[in-house]
Parts: sequence; structure tokens; C-alpha cells
Amino acid sequence: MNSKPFSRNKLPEGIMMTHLQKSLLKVKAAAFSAIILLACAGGTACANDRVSEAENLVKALITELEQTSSQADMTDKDNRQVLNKLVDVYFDVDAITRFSVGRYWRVASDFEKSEYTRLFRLVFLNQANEQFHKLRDLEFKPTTTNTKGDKLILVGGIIHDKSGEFPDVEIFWRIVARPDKPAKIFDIEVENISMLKTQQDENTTLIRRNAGRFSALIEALQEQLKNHQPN
Amino acid sequence: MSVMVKLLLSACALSFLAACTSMPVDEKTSINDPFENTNRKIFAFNLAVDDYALEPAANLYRNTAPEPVQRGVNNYVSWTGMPLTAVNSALQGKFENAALASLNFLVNGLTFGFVDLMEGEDQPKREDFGQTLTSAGLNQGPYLVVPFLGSNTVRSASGRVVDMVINPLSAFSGKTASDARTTLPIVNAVSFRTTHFDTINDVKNNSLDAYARARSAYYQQRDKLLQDNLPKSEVKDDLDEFETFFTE
Repeated sequence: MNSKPFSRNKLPEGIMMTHLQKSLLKVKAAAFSAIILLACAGGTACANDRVSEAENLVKALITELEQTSSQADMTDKDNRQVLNKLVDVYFDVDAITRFSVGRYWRVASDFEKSEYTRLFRLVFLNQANEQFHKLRDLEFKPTTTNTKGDKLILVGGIIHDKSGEFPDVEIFWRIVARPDKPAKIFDIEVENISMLKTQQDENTTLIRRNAGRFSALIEALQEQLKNHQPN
Repeated sequence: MSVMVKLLLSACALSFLAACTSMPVDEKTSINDPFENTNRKIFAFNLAVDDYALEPAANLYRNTAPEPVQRGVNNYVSWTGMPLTAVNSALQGKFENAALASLNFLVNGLTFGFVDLMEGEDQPKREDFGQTLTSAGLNQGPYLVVPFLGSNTVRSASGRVVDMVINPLSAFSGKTASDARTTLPIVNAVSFRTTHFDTINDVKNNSLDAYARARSAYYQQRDKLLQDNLPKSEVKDDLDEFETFFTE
């Protein structure tokens, strides 16, 4: 018999191995390679899914904004209701709130956290409401999408004003896409200026200049809301 | 006065401005802003200038000048910056950009810059002497608010002074050239204010701290502009603060 399944071959290192062991090793190596390939392919597919999800999120928001802002019979109250809903559906409000005060979030009391969250949202809605009428003629033309780490995706594009009043503006949507949660918008970067980073710098400067008192920020927000004059 | 002496005097003046006041370490609001108290006073002055002069002028201009006129003025302002872009690009070894800027200046010179004849073609990336200093590895120094000019760092402010001195346009003599040089900064300021009318008003009227917001916006925009000027050893390859936030 030519085949000697149990014969031992001498390996260069001096390790003895049977044909069966060698066959098993080959099978294991093939299986391992297959798993690695599948994992890579799966990872790529997963990353592609996250990218598509992020792009679709931005498209859906733009479409909804276009439809809503083009309705002529909308009152100020209606606009606020729509914006309130859009904020919850499309934005990661919790992460935005925490990021906007930087390291001071950790030192704030529970009461300060909840009060800040409430006021921050009100100020945001006021400002968004004032800009709402400007959205009517805007359209978004996507250009590039890049992943940043394993949780963030940057969807880039151009905001074009169909009325011609404003020049084209480069914009990036920073999307959080975690595997176990739906994708949400975390930040908007217009002409290289991040709205959230700017808000964080402003808030933390205010707290620092008031000897690290988080309540100073709350007082400033209350004052701003008190002085707010709707357009 | 020779160019070198002018540069030295300007650099000394900027250093003096930077050193004239500082604040205790525990009151500093940013590691890049040790002269915040003085900066805030100058910022308040600049806001007053904006309230009483620039904003009304920009408002009048945007409401009365037809859109093609505004576009023409924007083109002109951009065109007058081309020689500086060409010089600074060459100093940084970006010869393609230098050639593009030179070509743009020559071609659009046929209309004195009011019409962009190269629209749709590759546009040169604006380069100033502050960016050239960055390429040379010079530290940006602290944040400075300069009267009338606004946000700067010591490096970018020094760069602006050098840009004024080495601007090839200053080689032209005669009354017309002199008038153009005198009015250009005003035209530039009104044109800029008009283009960013709502954004600047938003910073002025809707901020908790307009100074902090303006400073943050300046650094973000400037950092982006300087990305390709940084020496390779200074290019950061680590996580940005947004990624870090989600890894915590």
C-alpha cells in the first residue's frame, strides 16, 4: 500500500506529524481563512449598511423639511410642533446635550442636568424656528460620505438655494450609527464650522468664567429665553 | 523705510499688544487665549464699529446694489488677492497653485477682476503669509483680537502685516492705484459683511457669549485652512474629539 495515512514525516523543525494531522491542519486553515474572509465581507457589508443608513437619514430629514416648510398655511405654533418632532426623530438629543457642555456634564447635579436639557432644547427650538422660513428654497446635493471610527459617519454635500439669494454652502452631517441603535444626527458642520463644537466652546467658556458654576449657564439660558423676541 | 524694518516694527508692535495685558491662570478660559480680558475689550470695540458702521453699510449695500454688481465686487476682491496667493504658494512650494493664481490674475485682469472669466475652471486655493509661516513650522501663538480686523493669532496677524507689505499690487504707482489701495480694505470689509450678514448677526444677537463663539468659529475655520500647511510631524492622526466622546 502506497498510502501511509499514519506514517510520520519528519518536519524541518523536527516535529513529527501524521498525514491525518496534516489533513486536519489544512482543513482548519481553510476554515479559518473562510471565517476571516466572511468576517471581512460581513464587516464591509455592515459598514456599507451603516453608510446607507446615514445617507438615508439625511435625505429623509431634508425631504421632510422641504415638504413642511413649503406648506403656506403653517402657523408659528405648527412649525414648533414639527420641529419638536423632527428633533426627536432625527437628532441624538441626549448625546448633543452632553457634548455641548463638555467635561462640565460630569460635575453638574441631576437637577442641573435636567434643567439644562430642558432649557437647551427650548433655545434650540427658538433658533430653529426663526430660520424655518429660510429652508423653503434650499436643496441638499450629497457629495461624499466617510466613516469616522466605528460609530460616526460624515455625510457631506452642498446646500443650494434655489432662489439664488444665498451662495452654495458646503455642509457635513455628523451621524452617530451604533450597531444596536438607529442612526441619528449628532452635529452639523457648515463651511468647516461645527455647530456643536462652537456651542460647547461657548458654554464651557461661560461656565469657566463663572468659577466653574454650572448654574451660571442655566441662568444665562433662562435670561436668553426671557429676552427672546419671536420674529 | 526698508521692508525689513517695517516688518520688524510690526512684529514688535504685535508682541507688545500681546504682552500688554494678561490674566491670572485660574481665570483663563482657553489655553490659546491668555490675553482674554484685553481681547474682549477690543472685541466690544469691533462690535460697536460693526453696529454703527459696517452693519448699516452692508445692509444698505445688499438691499440696493443689484446681485450682478455684488457678484462683480466679490470677484474683484478675490482677484486682488491673487498676487499674494501666487507669492505665498510659491514660498510654500505649491507651484501649481502659484501658477493657477497667476493665470487667474492675468486672465481676469482683462476685466479688472470684476468678471470671473475662469468660472468653472480649477480655482486656486487662497494662501496667505500666515499659512507660509505655518509651513515653516512657526508656532501660532496666542489668540489676538485686532481692532477693525478681528480674530487672529499672533502668527496670522504677523502674516497679515507681511502680506500688506509684500503685496505685489503695491508696486503699481499713480493716483488710481493709490485710490484703489485705500478703498480696497473698506470694499473688502463691506463685501465680507454682506456675504456673511445673517451669520454675523446670529453671533451678535443669539449668543450667550459672542466673543467665545467668534473665537471658536475662527479657530475651527483656520485649523481647516492650515491642514495642508502643517509640517508632517505636527499632523495629528489620532481620534478627533467627537470620536473620543463616543469611545468614553
